[in-house]
Amino acid sequence: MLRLIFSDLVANARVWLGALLIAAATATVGAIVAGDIETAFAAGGNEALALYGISGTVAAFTVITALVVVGAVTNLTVTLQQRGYALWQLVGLRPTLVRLVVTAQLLVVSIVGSVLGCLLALPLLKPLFRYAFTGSPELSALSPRLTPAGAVPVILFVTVVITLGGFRAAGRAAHTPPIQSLREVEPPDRRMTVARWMGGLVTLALVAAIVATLPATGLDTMAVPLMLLSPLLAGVLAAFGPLFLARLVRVWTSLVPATASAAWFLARNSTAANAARSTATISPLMVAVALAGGLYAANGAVGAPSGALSTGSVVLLVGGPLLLAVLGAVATVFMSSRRREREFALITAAGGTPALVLTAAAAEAVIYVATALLLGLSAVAATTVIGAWAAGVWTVAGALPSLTIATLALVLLLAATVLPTIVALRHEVPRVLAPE
Amino acid sequence: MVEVENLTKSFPAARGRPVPVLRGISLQVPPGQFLAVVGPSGSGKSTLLYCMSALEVATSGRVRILGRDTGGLGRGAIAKLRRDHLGFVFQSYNLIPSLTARENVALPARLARRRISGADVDRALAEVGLAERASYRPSALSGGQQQRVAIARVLAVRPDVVFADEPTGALDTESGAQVLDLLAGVARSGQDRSVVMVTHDLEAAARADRVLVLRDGVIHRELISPRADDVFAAVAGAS
Repeated sequence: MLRLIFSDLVANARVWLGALLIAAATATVGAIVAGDIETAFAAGGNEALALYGISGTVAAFTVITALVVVGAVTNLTVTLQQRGYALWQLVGLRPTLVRLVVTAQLLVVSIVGSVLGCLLALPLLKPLFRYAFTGSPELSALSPRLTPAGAVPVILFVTVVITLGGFRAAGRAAHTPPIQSLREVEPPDRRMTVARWMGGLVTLALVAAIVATLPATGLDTMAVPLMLLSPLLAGVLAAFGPLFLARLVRVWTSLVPATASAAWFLARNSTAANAARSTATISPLMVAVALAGGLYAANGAVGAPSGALSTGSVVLLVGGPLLLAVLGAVATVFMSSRRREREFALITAAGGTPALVLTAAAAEAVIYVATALLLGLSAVAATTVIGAWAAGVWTVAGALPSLTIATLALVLLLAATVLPTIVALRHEVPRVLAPE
Repeated sequence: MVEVENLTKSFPAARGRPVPVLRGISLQVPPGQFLAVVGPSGSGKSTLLYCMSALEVATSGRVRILGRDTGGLGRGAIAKLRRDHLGFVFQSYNLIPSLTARENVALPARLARRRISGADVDRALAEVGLAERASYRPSALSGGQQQRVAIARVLAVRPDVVFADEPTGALDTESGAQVLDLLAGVARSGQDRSVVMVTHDLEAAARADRVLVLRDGVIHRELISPRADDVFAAVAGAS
């Protein structure tokens, strides 16, 4: 079985590398937060109180982002390999063993990734700490530290989130009908599960609880609960995504008539039909937009000018989670590029030019980002409305950061879709379409 | 319709000299002909089909489709040639998974920005017996139904040459027979359309007007309107 676990990891390196990258990135971000907490613990006094408060907020952002991103990536990791799991069963592997192998693979990848991520955090901790607290001489004078006591909980968190996140997907893999290996396999549509309903409702209840406390909260302390709302609402949207995402994509992309562009037609169908793939990319992006926009919307609602948030503060509060969310989206596109190659080959065989194939890939990236922007902005807008209700100030401060993050994400996503497409176009069609 | 002149194709080997797969093949496919290519595994029959259809670049030699030398065409021009004049049926993975059967059938016309009426698409699907499944995605269709949708695409777009690579390879006897009937129907429609089919199924090959038996990258035998026994004997002689 060990041989199967490792040979499959190597054979599907593209998919597993994406999962490894996200495990490492989550651990790096988590380790930096853990480092801040450890530093606070060692420092004591007022500095500790200030650091605990900041670290708590960052930890909350990181946990929300990690749950959405890691969940999406882990599910995609398993979904993309359904055909392989069907083949395993065809050669006699029992479903329980399939589940065991997939879970073991997730365990290996999460442990290796999180250890690498913690190691990567070590050299980053000091310069990031100094940069983030430039404006506070007392805090920047502290010596940041990260010991195994801080790193181990991070490794455990990443491992548990990835392994548990993939547990249901592993079960689905175990019950993949072997006949699927002989047919054209399409990742199954993402459906609402009990875990999704519960996760979504609990997060919604959390949002309601925060909102309920706002009228009794002073303006000077209202910014923190307000800035938590937007990413939490994004979490709610991510949990309930299977209920509306495909329909939303179909509705807004129909603004461009099907006859106007073959590339757009192909991209919109691909995005709406491959719900598992699309959700995995759109959800992290949506969280990224909500994080950035929510931070500024909350700040604006309590009457602080946009300039009051220094770059250092923004990096400190949402830098890590933002990086994780955008990396998550890019990783999901990279992971599923193998499946796209086959679609590109079919379009080429049907007479599509290389330019059309490239445009379709770019259009897909545009659809991902625009859908995420639409959803992320709705979370930011809700924060703005709640902020106006609680603090009496209307602000549009969340719009520009949301658009900025979406633009940055679009550039990265275009690179992640277009570059593999250029490589894919060099492959000869018969090789790509040959039965595996 | 299709002319092949002294075609060679070699694949790079891990070590040493490239491995020759096609060794100077010349042939012609006239309009309206149903040509089958058979031969033992590794004889080069699929490679020949891909080089003939400009899906793969030949090492040397010349392929002319409708009088146009494909070697001198850029990727854009080859794409245009494909969507305007060629149709393909592969052994598997014929259809774009995110499109319905109807959308898959209309795809080449859409790519060529040609108008194709819904009625034409529905008629093509009805001809292959899948009118009821027009709104289904490939994942909801059996292998045989997917092959028939690929053929409906060929029927709807009416390409001059259809290239089929093992179109019955993954099908049961009944589905395979249906697919062969449809392919033969394309060639015998009286519209000067040709079909080039690679197959390992000798019964299927015997349905063609002409059969080429390949061995070690060269044409070993050529049979005109053969019976299945003739094809079997020729392939046995080539093995």
